[in-house]
Amino acid sequence: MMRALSRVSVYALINVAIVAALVVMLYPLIWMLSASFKTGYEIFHSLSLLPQAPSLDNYISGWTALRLPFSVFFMNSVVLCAAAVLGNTISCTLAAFAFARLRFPLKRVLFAVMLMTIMLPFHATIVPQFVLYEHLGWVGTILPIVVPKFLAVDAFFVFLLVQFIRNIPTSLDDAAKIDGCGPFRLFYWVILPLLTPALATTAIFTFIFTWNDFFSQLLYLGNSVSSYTVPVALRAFIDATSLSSWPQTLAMSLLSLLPIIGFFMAFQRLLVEGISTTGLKG
Amino acid sequence: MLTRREFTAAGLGLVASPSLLALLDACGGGSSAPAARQTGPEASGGKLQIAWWGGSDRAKRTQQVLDLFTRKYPKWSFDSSFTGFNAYWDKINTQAAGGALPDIIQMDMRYIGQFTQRSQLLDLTKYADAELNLGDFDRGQREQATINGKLFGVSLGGNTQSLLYNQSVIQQAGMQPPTGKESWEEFGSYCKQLQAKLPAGMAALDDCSWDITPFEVFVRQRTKKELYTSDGKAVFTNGDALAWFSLWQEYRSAGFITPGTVAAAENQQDTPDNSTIVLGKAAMRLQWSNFVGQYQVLMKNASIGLAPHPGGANIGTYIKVSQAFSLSAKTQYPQAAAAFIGFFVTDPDAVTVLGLDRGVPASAKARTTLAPNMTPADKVQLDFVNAQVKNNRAKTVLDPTGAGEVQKAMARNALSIPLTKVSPAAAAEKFMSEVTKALTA
Amino acid sequence: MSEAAREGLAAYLFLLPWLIGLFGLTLGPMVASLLLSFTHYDLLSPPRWVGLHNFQLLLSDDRYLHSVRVTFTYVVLEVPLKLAFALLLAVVLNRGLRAVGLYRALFYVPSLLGGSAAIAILWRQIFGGDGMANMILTSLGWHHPPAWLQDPSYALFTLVALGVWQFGSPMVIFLAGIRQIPREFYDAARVDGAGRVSQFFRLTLPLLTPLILFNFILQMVYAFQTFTPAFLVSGGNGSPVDSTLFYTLYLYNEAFGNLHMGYGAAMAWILLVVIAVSTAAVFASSRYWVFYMETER
Repeated sequence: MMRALSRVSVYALINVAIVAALVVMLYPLIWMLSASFKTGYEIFHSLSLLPQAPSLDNYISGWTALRLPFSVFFMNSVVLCAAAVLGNTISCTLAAFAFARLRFPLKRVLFAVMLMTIMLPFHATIVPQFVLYEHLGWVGTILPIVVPKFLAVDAFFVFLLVQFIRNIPTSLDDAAKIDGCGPFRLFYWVILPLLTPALATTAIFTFIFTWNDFFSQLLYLGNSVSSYTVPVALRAFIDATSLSSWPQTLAMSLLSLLPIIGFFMAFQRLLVEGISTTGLKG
Repeated sequence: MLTRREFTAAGLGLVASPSLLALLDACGGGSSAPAARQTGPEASGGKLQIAWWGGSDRAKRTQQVLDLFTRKYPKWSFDSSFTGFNAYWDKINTQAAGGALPDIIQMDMRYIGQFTQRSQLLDLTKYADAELNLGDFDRGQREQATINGKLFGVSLGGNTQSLLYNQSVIQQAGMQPPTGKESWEEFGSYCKQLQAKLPAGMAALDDCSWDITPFEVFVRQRTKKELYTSDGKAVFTNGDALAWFSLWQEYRSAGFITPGTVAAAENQQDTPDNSTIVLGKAAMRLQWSNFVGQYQVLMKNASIGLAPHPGGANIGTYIKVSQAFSLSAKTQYPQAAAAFIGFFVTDPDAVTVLGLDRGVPASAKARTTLAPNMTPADKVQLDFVNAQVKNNRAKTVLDPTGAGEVQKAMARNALSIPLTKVSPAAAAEKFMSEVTKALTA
Repeated sequence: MSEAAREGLAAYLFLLPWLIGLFGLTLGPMVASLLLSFTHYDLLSPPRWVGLHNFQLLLSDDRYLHSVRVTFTYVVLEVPLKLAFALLLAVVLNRGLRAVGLYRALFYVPSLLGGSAAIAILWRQIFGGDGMANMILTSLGWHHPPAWLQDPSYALFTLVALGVWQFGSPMVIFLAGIRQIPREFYDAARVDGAGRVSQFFRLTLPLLTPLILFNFILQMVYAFQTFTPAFLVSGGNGSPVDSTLFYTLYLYNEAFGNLHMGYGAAMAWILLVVIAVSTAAVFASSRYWVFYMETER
């Protein structure tokens, strides 16, 4: 009896501790949410999480503070991310299928090379890539960000898909082969339909990574406001405005996080499983 | 009161040292016939990218002028961006690397040498008369942006180094503003006196040790030379840097300049909106004269004044093109962009909207337009520049490639003294080695 | 054509986009980067061969050496702290709590958002001189807390905090690992009279060492490449006084700001080697501390 009681209270204590830790962890985000409805004065003078007079003013004035409305920047980001998702899912799936199911010369070597490129810091290639894109006249367009996705440069996703395809029982392949399926039909009719969860994981992570990717967007985009993506616009926001516009800055920053939070809430299980099995960085 | 004629004359005073021939040229005006305008703003259309640095007020005014231009030439629209000075140059340099500069670039005299050396700017000479409408332009301002006989920028106004002060605060302290005749030591004692009467949290003087501009004045006062030689080497020595850092270290220990962390914040985000003067953290700052209007518009309850730069008998200040508009060498629309610049500096409506935000306009017509309706801050600025016309020493050497890096090195090393307790001597030595690297690379 | 030849041909067709990317955008540029590192190149005039000059310059470049120090300090602080938090929370969350799924998701949120520009901006507000952190500290009775982001003694630590805050992603991996430890092991340990603490040190921790190794390497490689927060929080130049001048930030400024492409390429290659050597060193050390179940059976 005593033992059971103490066990219950231990659990209660642990729960309380975890919730307390969560509050500390998430406090900055909660505070950000609250601040986005406050006035600038209130942000710097009140610690209360409840705004005195909650108002959407920050969202309204922040939305157009860079002259063009934020909808333009959201649209640019969405287009960029959609192209990246399309590129990554197609090119990585194709490569993964070959590695997982087909026999071909130099397979081991190429697979090892693929694995090695996963850990390659992007700085190793950034200077010559920039020079290349500059000569192609691509700097200032989304091509330097999108084209690599169509060439499966994010080898990580190739690896993820290889692991997934390897778990699909080969008995299906054998059946298909007996029916006279070649590699192309095997891919299209047998493997692809079973890949949906892995494709979804790839798509969502590509979306999140591209949405958050600041470096390449800073480097390649942003010579005209109408081409700003969300992170580049936020950067322009803090550089161009002042302390007095913190509330608008925070409001727009918060908005920029909503798509990611939305995806996370919708596909939480899928994403967490993806991380657990492959060590994806979020 | 300033008469219209005096105002109009003020700009002409900006002429550095016009030769007789040059003056004749200037008076002769449009000797070459205006070029045919078939491909000007009326004929075609497109979107012009334009970038500038500055605060929120400048953004508002500039944007209004862009709208005016679009109203007049509906086929043209703009893609504009603006940031603080440091962020601006970081970004423009990256864009220049990628060959993706905006069509119209606000240019600073510290960078124009570098950009022309790298052939990144368009020679505007052939647009000078028709599109740019430089007929009545101040000769000195035009010449400063002319390099090896080619026009690479159009001045948006002239300015000069000054001591900018919060007049209201000094009045409340029961003191007179500085006269500008003070030596650096005398100026220090003035600040110390003022500090004793200021409210808590406000320093008498903003820490300007990290700013290359007052350092340049200091060097010119000491050496009677320029900051750089004409072949791009530093004129200043370790001794000059040490004297500069030591001076500010004395100021610092006397307790009348802003703390290092405040200076660091200002350096991290350097728009007028975040300046210590506007935030009420300092009463005075060494600053370009055209900032008076930018600060004033953000300070409803105080009036801003200008005094000559401290430093004593030797003149260190000069009158310069505050900023220019340049065109990217790769712009698709050179003629329309040039026409826009011409509109920006001479159209009466545009000139009225812009005021003296970027300095005293170089166009005589523009000055005439502005004369009747100036804000008090604009008058302060104009009076000041007017008075300094006879009290400056023209700058004769263009800043070399690497001057931007020297500027950053100055900020880093000057701030290392209060922030990481580096000695002035060590900071000076490190600064000089970084200068050498910046100027040779 | 034989069956095998046809399959091989098909495979290469499937691999074609990846192969183009591999040679055109990864291996090619790596070789080009190596070659560029021996040149002086500013994009405007053709590269000029300068031999080892860039590398010699780097060794005498105080700011470069400083950026190396900043980056190592960051890696050495951020990675172990992050993993410690991740492990601690994973163990606690595994205590059979009902809401573990929800907790896990919520702890993961910072990792999800942390890399974004928005969070870097939020950090800039929080740790500004009169930001949220100082308001809390003042209300707790600390009268003049430092201006964290403007004071070189602290600026880097705010970025370490930002990194550690994102411990959710290694935590999720640890959690998955803990769940795979068979229950019977714990039952047996309990029969032997092991308490919770000793269960942790004698059972959970050793069995998790492969995952610790995995997470350690992953996080270390990421930490070496930190860019976004350093760029946005510092205003792009490593301020104040270079205290947040990360390796990548200096590389960015040198290569793309000052057009020192050869210099930047040299820096990139050194970084690559440093990361490779660090990873190899961690791997080499792993046989002294990583416990693989198979070998012990």
